[in-house]
Amino acid sequence: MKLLGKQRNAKFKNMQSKELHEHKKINQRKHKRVSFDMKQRRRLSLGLYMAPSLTGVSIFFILPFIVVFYYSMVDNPINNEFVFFDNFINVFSNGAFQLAAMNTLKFSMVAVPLAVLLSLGLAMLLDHKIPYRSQFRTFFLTPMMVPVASVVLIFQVIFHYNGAMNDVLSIFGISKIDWFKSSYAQVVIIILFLWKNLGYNMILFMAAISSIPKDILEVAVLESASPWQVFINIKIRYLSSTILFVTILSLISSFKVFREIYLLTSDYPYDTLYMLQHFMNNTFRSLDYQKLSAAAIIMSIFMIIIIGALFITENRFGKDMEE
Amino acid sequence: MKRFYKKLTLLGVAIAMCVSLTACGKKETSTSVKDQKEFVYVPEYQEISEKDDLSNLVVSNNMIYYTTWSYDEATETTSSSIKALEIGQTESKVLPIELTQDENVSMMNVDKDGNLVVVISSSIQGENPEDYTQVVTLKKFDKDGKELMAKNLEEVMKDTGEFGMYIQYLTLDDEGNIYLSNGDSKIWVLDNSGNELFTISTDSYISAMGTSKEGKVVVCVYEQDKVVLREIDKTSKALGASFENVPDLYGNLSLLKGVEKGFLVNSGNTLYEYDLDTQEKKEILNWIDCDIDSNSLAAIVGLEDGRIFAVTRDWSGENTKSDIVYLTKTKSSEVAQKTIITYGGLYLSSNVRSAIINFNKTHDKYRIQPKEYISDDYEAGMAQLNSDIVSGNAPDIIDLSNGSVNQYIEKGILEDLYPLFDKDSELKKENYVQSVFKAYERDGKLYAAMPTFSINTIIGKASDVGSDMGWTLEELMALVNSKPEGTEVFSYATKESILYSLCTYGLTDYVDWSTGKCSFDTENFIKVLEFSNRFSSDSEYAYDESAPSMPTKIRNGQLLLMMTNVSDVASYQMYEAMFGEPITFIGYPSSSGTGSSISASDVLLGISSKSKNKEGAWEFIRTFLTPEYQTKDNMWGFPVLQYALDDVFKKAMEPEFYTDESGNQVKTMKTSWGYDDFNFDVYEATQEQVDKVKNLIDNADSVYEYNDEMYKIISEEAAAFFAGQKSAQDVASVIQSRVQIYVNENR
Repeated sequence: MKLLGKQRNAKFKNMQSKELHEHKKINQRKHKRVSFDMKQRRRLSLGLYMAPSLTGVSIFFILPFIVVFYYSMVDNPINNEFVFFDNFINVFSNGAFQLAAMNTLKFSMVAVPLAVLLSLGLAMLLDHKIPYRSQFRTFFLTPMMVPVASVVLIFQVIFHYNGAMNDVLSIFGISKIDWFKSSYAQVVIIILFLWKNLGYNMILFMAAISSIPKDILEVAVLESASPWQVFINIKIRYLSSTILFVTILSLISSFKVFREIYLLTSDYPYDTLYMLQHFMNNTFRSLDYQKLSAAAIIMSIFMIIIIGALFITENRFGKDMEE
Repeated sequence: MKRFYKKLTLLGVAIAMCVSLTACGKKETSTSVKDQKEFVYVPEYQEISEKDDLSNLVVSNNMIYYTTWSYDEATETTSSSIKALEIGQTESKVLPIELTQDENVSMMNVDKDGNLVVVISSSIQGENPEDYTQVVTLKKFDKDGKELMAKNLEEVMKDTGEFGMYIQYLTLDDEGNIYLSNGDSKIWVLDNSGNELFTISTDSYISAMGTSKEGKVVVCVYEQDKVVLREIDKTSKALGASFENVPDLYGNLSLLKGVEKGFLVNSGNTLYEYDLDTQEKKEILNWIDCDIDSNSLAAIVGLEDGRIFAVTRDWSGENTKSDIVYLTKTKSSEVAQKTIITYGGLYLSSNVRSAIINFNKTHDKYRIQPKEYISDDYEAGMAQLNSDIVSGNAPDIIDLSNGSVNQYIEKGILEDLYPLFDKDSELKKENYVQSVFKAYERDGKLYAAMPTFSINTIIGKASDVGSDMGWTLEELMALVNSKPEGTEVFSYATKESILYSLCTYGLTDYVDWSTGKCSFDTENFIKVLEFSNRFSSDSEYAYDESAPSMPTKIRNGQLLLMMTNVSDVASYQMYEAMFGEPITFIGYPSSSGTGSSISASDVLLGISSKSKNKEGAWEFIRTFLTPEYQTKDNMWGFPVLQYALDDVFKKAMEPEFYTDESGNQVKTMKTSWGYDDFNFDVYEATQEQVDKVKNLIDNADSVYEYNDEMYKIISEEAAAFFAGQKSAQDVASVIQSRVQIYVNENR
């Protein structure tokens, strides 16, 4: 009987543990369902919160991009006959596109590094306690306040064939230079670009410099690090994300310099000033959508590659600082 | 994560489907009939048995009143009469209104009682030329021709100044008051007995006058940079209320009483209804859609039953033919459907318009629907046409007369016409003037066809330029340098005009569209700039009124060369006589060739390579190339069909005769030419003269095409050289740089 009782007890215990296990299982399932419901709800609410901006981005960015891509693949928007890469081949083999792409590349390759380096240099300079620091800061920011039309007018007055610059040069016996219609044209535009953009870049760098932890800099000085070592190993590493940001910003601005060039020289400028935006603008004016779309796609791919490369670089050199 | 990718894939597929669906939808639309209107006006013709030239048509109470004018060759007298024709009848009756040989009905209108108000002008020539008297009389007749009133307008119109007594517009209001205007700036208002009520002077020209359905009398004037209608206010005796948004209108047949309200406004190819209350215009009909040439309209009246009544005149035959046309508004679906062929160009020339109307009248399968792109300016019109072409909405037939042919060819916009020629059972390409076809031939494909052509060239005395065609700029400059100081090279020449001519007529020297190569930085173009700079600028040019006439200067050797356009043998005969000695078509200076270029004298046509109805488009284009069209008399330019051209030369050498009173055949001049103080009667041409013209045609080796954008760049840059600020080399280099971009972009 005892045995029976023991057996019964064991059986009961066994049953109990089984039930408990089952119960646990049910509870787990319930818990899982609850957490699944919670997750779904969360996702739904996230989706709802994101919906307005997602719709905006889709309508104004993604959809137009798809349309442009579609236009670049068809013969014209009415016939809609797929020509696949014919439009891209036409654009690549077009002399005007080649010239525009080369000029834009040249301009960006010179103007963007200069805009980053000079503004960084100015920010470093103004980070030191020099006299009239505040006035200098304001001085470099003023071009931002001047409307494009006025900037163009100022540059026309200075660099016109009969302008102030040639008057000054004539004092030194140098013959007149046609600044906008000669090989000097890109130099003038680079000066204009830097004049317009240095101030803003400089402010961004100054803000970044001020956020570098002072204790690290002090430790470096106590450890007898040279100013160059401090600059390269600490400051530049802390500034890397800002450098990336300023570079991208300058790159975008370098593509937008067309606005000033167009106002200075109209649709068909001297060949060194003929930018991709000229090509786009003129093809848009002649409503050559296919050429325009193909060129826009090529340009965006190129931009994606450059910005991607910049991100990779920044990830390599500045990630530890962010952490 | 997998679910996310699944969703992404699904989204991609959905977008792809949407895109492909959109494409299908559009494709269907493009094949449907374009611009189909809901209603059309269907014409119903009724011929009038009137052989004389009729004018001043007015309609009242089922009666048409009009004036006729005829000339009797036997008696050498003219006669005018006023006739009445009942609507629906073909025979008219002459009203018993006596008009002398000197009298001419200049205006006629009808009042609400059916009385005719007529302005009769007469001129009395005295013994001396200065003894010339002009009399303008206002008369009123009842519907049977009985005179009710006569009034000499000399007293009323005494202040007409240099324009003399002349009535351009006549209209009446419901009270029978008579409104007269000379179209300059005067309006005279008379009561129904012809007594002057008041006079109004306007600041601008009066381009139309009429009475609205509501009885308001308005004039059309140009005020503050726009055309407006101004009401004639009897109370203030001045111009009153102003009405805007008026369609362009000009002439007697443009401002007509409306059917339901306001006015019917006839503006070019379109008839509008204009509402004075809302100042809105509504298109009623397009004359071409009704197979009516708006140039042939002699009367338009809106009938009470909603039909439009019109009278047309056709002068193309030996006698004037007049038709009454009733236009009935009908649903498009009730009219026999034809395949629509669209014709697009900046504007329609009169020849094209009548060709379209004839084609639409005679073809059962196709109908040509024209679209004029002309707007405020040339550039906007061309931009609109180009926009339609590149967006795939190109007209089936493109009028290429206004340039851009080379760009269209390079972009593959135009269809090769030779296969269509080959399929044609009647027209053979070998039968046409090959040098003209070659002008628009690329790699054995013909992209544009012109029915008639002319040759742009420069003429000089053979003693100056030699007898061979073609020369270089150096040779031209050598000729100029060999002449005494002050000898003019071209008449009315300025830096800008010479540069324009040398660039546009010699553009093939500097731009090769097939390779995209520009050659503006060459020695040759630099010389063009330097040569142009010899002349005075547009702003400096002073017209010397005391200078001898151009023909005199040429004969005296004071003027060397003349730029011209040769379109017939007679013009060669005239130039030869004007120069007073043998001449040579030396052409525009060019590095190679003759420097003479072909241009379409009327129209240049091509077919869109995207057209769905190429055969239909060809059906229309071929009408300009048929022997019937090519052998027509009075064509402007040389016909492109070789045997028609040979016929032109043959006819040029045949004398013309008339029969005198005694029945004798007397040789007479074919035509007469005048140039300043030089007059020349053209008789039959000699074989030598014809050969010279033939030689010019055979050797014309380039084609004229104006490119606005390119010339804008050239003139903009050349200005710095002309102003002495830059060297020709520097300017040429900048032009080369800028034009090269333009050419590359547009290939």
